[in-house]
Amino acid sequence: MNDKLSELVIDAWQNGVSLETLCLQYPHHADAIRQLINPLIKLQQVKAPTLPPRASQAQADFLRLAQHYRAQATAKPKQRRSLLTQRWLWATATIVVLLCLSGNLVLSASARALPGDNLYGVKRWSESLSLAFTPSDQQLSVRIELVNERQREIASLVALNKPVPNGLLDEVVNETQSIELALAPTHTNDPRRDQLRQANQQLQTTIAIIPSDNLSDDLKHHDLIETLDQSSQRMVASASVTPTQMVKVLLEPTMSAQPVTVFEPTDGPNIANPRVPPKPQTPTLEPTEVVLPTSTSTALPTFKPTKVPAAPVVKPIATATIVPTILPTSTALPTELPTATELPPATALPTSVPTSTPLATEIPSIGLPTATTVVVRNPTVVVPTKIPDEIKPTEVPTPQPTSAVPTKEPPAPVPTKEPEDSKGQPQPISHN
Amino acid sequence: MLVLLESLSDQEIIERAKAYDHAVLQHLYEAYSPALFRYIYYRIGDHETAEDIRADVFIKMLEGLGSFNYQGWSIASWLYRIAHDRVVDHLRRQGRRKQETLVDTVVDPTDGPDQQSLASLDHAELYAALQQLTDEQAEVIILRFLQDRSIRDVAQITGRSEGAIKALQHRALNALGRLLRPVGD
Repeated sequence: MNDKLSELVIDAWQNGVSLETLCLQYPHHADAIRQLINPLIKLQQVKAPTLPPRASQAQADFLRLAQHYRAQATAKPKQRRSLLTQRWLWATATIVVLLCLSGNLVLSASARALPGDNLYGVKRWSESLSLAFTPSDQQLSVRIELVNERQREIASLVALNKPVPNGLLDEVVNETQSIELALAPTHTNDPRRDQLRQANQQLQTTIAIIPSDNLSDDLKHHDLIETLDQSSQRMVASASVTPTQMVKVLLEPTMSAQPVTVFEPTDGPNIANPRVPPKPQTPTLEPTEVVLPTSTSTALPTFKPTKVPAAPVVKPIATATIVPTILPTSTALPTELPTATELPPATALPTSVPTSTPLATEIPSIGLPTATTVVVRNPTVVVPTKIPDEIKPTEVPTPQPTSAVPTKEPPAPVPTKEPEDSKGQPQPISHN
Repeated sequence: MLVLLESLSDQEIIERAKAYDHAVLQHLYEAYSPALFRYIYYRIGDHETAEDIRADVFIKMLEGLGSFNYQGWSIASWLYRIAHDRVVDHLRRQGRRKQETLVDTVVDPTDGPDQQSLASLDHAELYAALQQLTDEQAEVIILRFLQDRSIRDVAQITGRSEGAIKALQHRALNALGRLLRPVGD
């Protein structure tokens, strides 16, 4: 008897067919059918067990529990949503308010932070963030303002006798050059150029007053000032150069020897950098692209006598006697220059050559010990004094025999020869 | 009430049960409680434990109603499946320890003394015979012939195919026929 036949027999028996009928229907399987159906008959006789009495209590517990589930299912969702919504609103509002308050406090506190302070990173981060959200056409102005901010930070550090990180100096100088490069293609009347020039000058002044602990620091500061100075010169020169030319010049690797060629059109002294000689108009001064001859030669002696006659300085007297031999007339400039005493105003407008001399006049009068900014200039002045040895032969044929030396040795030449003229009024050779 | 509920399809009953409808839940409890108790009792052989497990099956039903999805299973098959899992867990914990207390308390109080002894004898003999079978054979015998579940329901409850259930029931009946006394002895 296979499974299929047994299933048929079982189904028939469950549907009311008697055992005898099934045996007659399948006589060859009668014994197997009996063996299959007998246990089913026996199972039918088993009285079904009844539920214990405590089952009714279990049913009551079940229905109570069901009611509890029903209450949770109907009531909770509404309450949850409203509570969740209110909590979200309150939590979000609180977080936003706290963030705004703490953010404002931190930012305002970090505004006065200096390098080395805990909040200085926040300050720089907020600056970069605000710069990132600044429209592109205003970003250069903001960057110039940030250079000014760095300059103020350096000045504050110096005032507080705190060390100025070299990284900060490099960063600000690099940023200045970067802005200069970005401004190269702009129009020469762009006000941002003036802003950058002013920032550059202030930065030079600030770096100059940084006390140097050792020689390497001093050289480092000097290099940075030189870099800024060259940048300033390029900015001035770019006023007469087309933007494309300026970009060319900026991209040249070394600018030390050639930048003078850019200065051709300028008449007066360089405002941004007084050390840059004004453009001479006379043919004899053409070689003066090199700074030294014009600035150091006749400048000092000629001015001093007029300015500080009573001063105990010895040099002026000597130079006073020297100048007359060279320049007879023209009293115009000298009177203005002494009063100015500073480079920019005196040298700005007047005639070309004489204005360059003011620089030299400042050096002796102010002297190295007192002036802070001038001290920085001195090294630059010193540097040229070395160069003249090479250039002199070609440069100063007739007019300046005494010029190179006078600054240091005024009485040496021939001072007494022609003291009578014009009371020591300095006059450039070009006027002759 | 019961007539109204019996007119509902399995899916409708499940949907209302998922809403914890009091009438539907009461109907399910009353309809399937005795059958589930018998199934559990025959499987484990202890009256009190069978009642505990039966009550637990309905609590499990309440807990699972929220996540129950109708996929063609009747609510009865689902309840038996819960009972089956609980019984298997219980037997595993017991280490298949033989329950010697069977039938002692499974007596219908309405029966007379003779009938009670006869019933007890039958229950004891039946349980002893079922214990000689494999778990699968015993479960098929109980579900098919003591609970009157169809081949399809037994296949769903035990997680086997219908063909396997047919083969199992054939072998189980032959084995049980050899164990039980012939009718009329």
